[in-house]
Order: sequence, then structure tokens, then C-alpha cells
Amino acid sequence: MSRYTRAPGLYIKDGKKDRQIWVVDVRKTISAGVADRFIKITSGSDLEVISALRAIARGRILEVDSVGGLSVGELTELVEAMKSAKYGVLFFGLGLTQSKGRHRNIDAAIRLIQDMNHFTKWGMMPMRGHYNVAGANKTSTWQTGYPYAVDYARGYPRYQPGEYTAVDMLVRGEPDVVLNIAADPAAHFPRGAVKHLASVPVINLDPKRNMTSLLAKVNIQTAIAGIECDGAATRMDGLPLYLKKVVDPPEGILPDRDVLRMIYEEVRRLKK
Amino acid sequence: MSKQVILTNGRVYDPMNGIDGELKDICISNGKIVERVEGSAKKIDLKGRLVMAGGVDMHSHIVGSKVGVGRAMCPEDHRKDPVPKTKHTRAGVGYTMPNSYVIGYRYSAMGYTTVIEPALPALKALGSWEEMEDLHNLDSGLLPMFCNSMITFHYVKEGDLSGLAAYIAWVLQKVGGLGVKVVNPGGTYAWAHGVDLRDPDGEVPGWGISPREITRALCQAVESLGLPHMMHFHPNNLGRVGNLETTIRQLDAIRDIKGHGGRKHICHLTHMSFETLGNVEGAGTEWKDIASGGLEFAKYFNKNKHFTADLGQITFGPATTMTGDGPFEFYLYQLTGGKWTNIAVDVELPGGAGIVPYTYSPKAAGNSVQWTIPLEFALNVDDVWRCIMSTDNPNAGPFTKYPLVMSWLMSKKQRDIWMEDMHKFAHERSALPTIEREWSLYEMAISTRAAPAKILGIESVKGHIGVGADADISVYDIDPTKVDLAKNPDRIIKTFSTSYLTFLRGEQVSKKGVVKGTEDRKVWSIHPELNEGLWTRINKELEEIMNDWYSHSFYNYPVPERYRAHLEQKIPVDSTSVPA
Repeated sequence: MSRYTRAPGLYIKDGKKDRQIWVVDVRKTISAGVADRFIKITSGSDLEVISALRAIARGRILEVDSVGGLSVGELTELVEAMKSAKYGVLFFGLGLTQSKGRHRNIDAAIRLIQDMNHFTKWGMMPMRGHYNVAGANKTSTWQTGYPYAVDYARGYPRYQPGEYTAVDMLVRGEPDVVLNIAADPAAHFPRGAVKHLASVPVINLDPKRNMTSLLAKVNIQTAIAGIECDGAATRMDGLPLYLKKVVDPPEGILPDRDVLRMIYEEVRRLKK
Repeated sequence: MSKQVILTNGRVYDPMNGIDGELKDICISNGKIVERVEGSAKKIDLKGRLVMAGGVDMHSHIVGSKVGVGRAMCPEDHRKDPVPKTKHTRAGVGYTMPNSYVIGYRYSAMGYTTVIEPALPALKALGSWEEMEDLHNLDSGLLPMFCNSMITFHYVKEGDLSGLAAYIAWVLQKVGGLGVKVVNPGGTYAWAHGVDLRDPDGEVPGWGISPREITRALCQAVESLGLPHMMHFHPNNLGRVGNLETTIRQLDAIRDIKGHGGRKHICHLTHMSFETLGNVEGAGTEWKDIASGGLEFAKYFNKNKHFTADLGQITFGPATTMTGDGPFEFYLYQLTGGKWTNIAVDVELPGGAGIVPYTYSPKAAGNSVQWTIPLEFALNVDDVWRCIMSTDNPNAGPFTKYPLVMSWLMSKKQRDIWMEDMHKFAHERSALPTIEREWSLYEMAISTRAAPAKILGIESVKGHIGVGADADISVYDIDPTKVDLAKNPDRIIKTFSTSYLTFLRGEQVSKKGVVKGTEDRKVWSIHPELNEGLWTRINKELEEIMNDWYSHSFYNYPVPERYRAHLEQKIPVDSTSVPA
């Protein structure tokens, strides 16, 4: 926030005064604490709130007093603020994708932002949480046509979030081996998924020891991109960034790409 | 496998060398066409089959962030066309936006060997080079956009042509670009500020300059640098009824600019079908007023020789529109009410590229008239060397529809069949039904091989099969002396959909549609060398500007050699005469 949102720029001279940050959430977070406004909504009411905002923006009269814990007056104020902004961006996090309604929440949010562009400039951006998720999505997309949740079982890529996504595959107990790169599913996945993970061989590539290392059958330490080896990462807004190497990795430690290449070549050799 | 091949008894159409359907033998050695081969060589008797140079597509969106976002936002698009892996190719998806591998394979299967990505946001070039790693089976190149960049505006406003030329040279070198793309100059930027700027003489908000001035300056800069490919131009006011007038106005605005080395053409107008919409005389500019401007534009084209053009032919059926013209995509989204994405790239493309899936229907009034425009045009131009077949893939239709477009150009019968059920406007608002001309195979070879290679400035080795050229060859399973193609349009489609053989750099990459993946290909780029004074100056100025305006460092802008060296084919250009 201090680097991009509150910083002065060519058009916004004083990021604190001339730029507004409004946070909408079900509880008061740290971000809410530093925002100009915090709007608390009822848990699980995202879809209703977004739909109400769209209706108000289109000049409809709501036949209720409140939606998702917000009065029609508050909702109207939010719509007016959005419409009168010069350039707005909706950042949304995992909460919106994982709460009741799931991808329908995102559909509605996309529609809200499309509607807003009839009045002024608005964009939206998913807050991906971890480093270089945008890069992984991008690479998967040009290689398979799909950003994630890709299944190759039939010899061609198929896409189905909720079916081919890691958590769902694990919960159904489908994989009999897992190659895990730069993630810590043992720490972050739901119990059902971790339970299956613990019952199959896991090959874990990571520069550091993590929870998954503890249940992995094979742990391969890899070099840290941007410190021990070079590489490219994609910033959340899609900007590719070149990461330079600063120091040599410890002896025998290779970048992920080299380890993966070696595994690939060995698999090819064994298949012959 | 032998690296030497002799193709005997081919019916050759090679316009760059003036060969119009002669029976010839072609010798290939080490990826090149040679006079004769020494030692052992594989001999293939073509038995009179049609032979052309590998196809050259100078305008097809195949790589980069908008293609990626387009793919990601439309999983339903790929689902209809899964592509299983084979022994020699990787798996993927097809339809309007295939994955990288399948793009290469499908072009190979059609006999195309060189395809240029015409809209690179230079700032994101590193991502595109990474993507190129997986774009197999094709020689390629990237055209960075300079049209809505605040740095361009800065130099235009200052009237500093040397600075602008140096900025272009710097970017082309640092990111590996093949030429200069101009898309809705000033208009996309204006839209970021909520201004609908479609008038070439309007004002770009906050800069006090007009699209006309930006276009002129960029065109002059390209010529002063002596770049092989001229300014690649997508004008203002695209996709609007009656825009024939503004397009001609914009082309008139650059007519006096002198081509370097005495060359005649200083601009390539791309996807003209979107820019030459006429209107019924005396009517307004609503969609109901649409008329074809193709014939009128052909007259202008025949009279004014300073530009070349490609068609951007609508093919009917599903397409995905994607362009650096963000405001046009917003307009189109308002028409469709469906999916729409805008990708803003601050400083260099603040209004953003846009993406909207679109289905063209022959029953729709606007679509049907727009379909007639490029055909009317192509069938009335007097110089096919300036007229390139394209569909602006995947904007007016996917590249896999090229054989269909060829059938319309080569067969009056085919046009009549398609017009039978078409919206009545196609008959009433266009001269196409009365046009008898049919393109010959020789003209087709010009428009899909020789001319695009020449316009791109890579004609020494691409677009022909004379000695010294890269051995990019397509053989089609037809003896043109035995079939009247104009009378058999289905045969045209069948012939050009699947080559009999395709060679890329001497390697056989496809046989009767069975493709073999290859990573042996090149990405073409231009390296304009500036004089030392100007080079020092531009580095200093760009460092200051980028540190001020960008959210990442000047030193992080260039695409590192590691991502390029093994793919890049650099064409050096001496631009030292541009004064500091």
C-alpha cells in the first residue's frame, strides 16, 4: 500500500489525501485499519451485496431496507462514490472466491466493474496471495489454454476448477503420487486433502524446509530465484519481472528448472 | 535423416522470382535452397503438385498478454476443440485461441512457416519471449506498440524527432522487436482519461497533441531510422460506420512523408475491413446506415501508392477480438453485452488492450456488409503486391479459416454460394455481387508469401524459393493444370487446409496434415544502431523518465539475452545518420 497506493504519482500528488481506499470485509482487518473507510458486511452475503450495488447503479429501486447488513442508504453512498471516482480499482482476495457463491461472486464483481465503466474508469485485480501465482497461471495458459486446474489424463488438457484443482483431487483420494513445487500444501490445505497427501509419496521442491517437507518422501532443496539464481516472475498486474542472481547457491543446489529438467529426462529415459 | 532433399517435378508458383506455374526441381541443403546438392540427398517426386514458398502471415495474434488473457477468460472456447498428443507433437487445444504448440502445428499443417505477432506491449516483452519458447514450428517476430506511450507523446510534444527515433531504436534493441506498431494513436490513452477521441485532429488530453501528429511523427521516425518494415498502422476510429472518411484522412496525412532509400511505401494499413466502412449516401453513421467502402477504398489505394494493406477478412462463425484499441473493445462489448476484458499497461498503454469474444453472422446486416468490404477491395486493386490476405487472427476469424478466404478470392462461384442466404444488405450495399474477378494462384502466392515477406523486410530469405532463401516450402496435393479451382471452391478449401508437405528451414514439419513438432526456428528482430551521441542521450533520458513514471527500474526493462539469444535472428540496421 505504501509503495503503490499511498505513493504520490504524476496525477495524484498526495496519495493520502487525493486517493481513497475503502475496504469491504466481514471483519475489521489490518487493511481496514489503514483505509479511509471500512464497510462491514454480513458473512456470506457477497453476491447479494454486489448484485444490490449493480441494481442501484442502474437506477433500480430496492424493495428491502438493507442487504448484507448495509442499509440501502449506505449501498447508495458506495455506488455514488464508485461512480464519481476518476479511476477506480477493485482488488479482491481469496475471501470472495471461497465464500458462498464462489465463482458466481466473481462473475457478479466482473459485471459490477463492467457496469461502472459506463460512468467512469474502473478495473479489477485478484490479490493472489502468494508470490508469482500470476506467472504460474500465465505459463499454464499458453501451454494448455487454461490457467490452472488442468487434467491431462486423457492425453489432452481439460479444465475444471472444483474437479481438477489440487484440493479436490486430494480429497477424492485420486493421486497416487504428488510432485509439489514451491508450495506448502501440508500447511494450507484442508485436513481431508492433507490426509491423502500423507498417504502417498510426495516429491517436494523448495528452497526451505516447510510443513510439506515433513511428510514428503523426497525433499530436493532448490535455489531461491532472485537471490541464488536468476529467473522471471510475473507481478500481480501481469508485468513480467526479471530476477537477478545475487549470490551462488550452496554447493549442489540447483534452480527448480534444472531439477525438473533432470527429472523429465530421466522419466523419458526410463520410458524408452 | 539426410539434411539434403531434392523435390522434383513441382509445379512452382514463386512470384518473387517471376515463376508462374513452371515444372521445376528444388534442392535443399542445410536449411537453405541451393542450386544443386552435393553428395547424398533424399529425392521426393512431387508429380506435378503445386509448390509455393512457406506461407508468411504478417498479422496474426499468437503470443503475448492479450492472447493469454483471452485464452484464460474463455475456457468454453477451447473445450470444443481438444487436441491430443501424438508421437511427434504435444497436446493442447484449438478453436479461436489455441495454446502455443497447437498454433505452430496448425500453421505447419496449412503450409505456413512465418507468422508475425503484431501487437506487443514492449514493457511485457520478457513474458512474450518466454512464451515464444513454446511457440514451435514457426519463424516469428514481434511488433511493439509505440502509439499510446507517454514517452512517445513526450517526444512528439517537444517536436524532438531524433529523441522519438532513438526511443524506438532503444526499445527495438532492448526487447527484440521487428518493427513499429501503431494502434489508435492517442485514442487508447485518451480513453484512460474518459475521453472518446476518434477524430484524428482531436486533442490527446493533457498533451496538446493530436493523433495526426503522433502518427506523422512515428512514421517519420521509422523512415529516419531506415527500418525495413514500415509503420504498421491500425488507425483511429476503427469499427465505426462511415470511418472510410477518417481512414483516408489519416492516410492522406502521411502521404508526403519520404520513404528511406527511395522506397514508395511508408505505411502498412492493417485489417482494412474494419477501417473502410462506408455509409449510404446522405444517411448517418448508425449501423443501419452501413455500406461497403471496399470499392471506394480500392480506388483510393490504386491512386495513392504510399501504403500497403491487409484484409482482416471476416470469416463468419466464432472469433475473439483482441486489440491494443481498448476503447473499440469497450464499444464492441456494449454491442454484445457479453464477456469483456481490458488490460491497462500504464505509461505505455494506459487505456489498455481489450478482448471481446464475438460471433460473426451472415444473417446480421453489419457483419454481412463488413464481409463484402475486403473482398470488394481485393478484387479491385491493381497491385496485389500491396494487398495481403489476413483475418487479423483471431479477430475476424481464426487463421485456420484462411483456405475459406482463399476460396472467396479465387472463386466467383463460391462467393455466389455464400451470398445466397446472406443478409440482403450484402447484396444492396455492396458491389461485390457484380464483381467477376477471381484471383489466380500466382496472385495468391503473391498475397500470402512474396508480398508479406517484402513488406516485412525479410524478403532476402522468406517468401520465395530462389537460391539462398530459407528452405520454407509448402507443397499442396493438387496439379493446378488439371483442376479448374474457380469452378471447384471446395477443392480450394481442401487443398489449402492441409498441405501435402511443409518444410521449415529444410526440415519436413508436416505431411498430409500429420505434423512433426520442431523447435528449430527463429524470432526475427531489428537492431537499429544509433550514433554514439544519440545512444548516450537516449539512455540518459529514458532512465530519468522511467525512474519517474514506471513502477520498475530502467535496468529491469530489457529482455535479458538468456531468453533471446538461442531464438533471435537479428537484422542490424545502420541508423547512425539520425542526428543526436
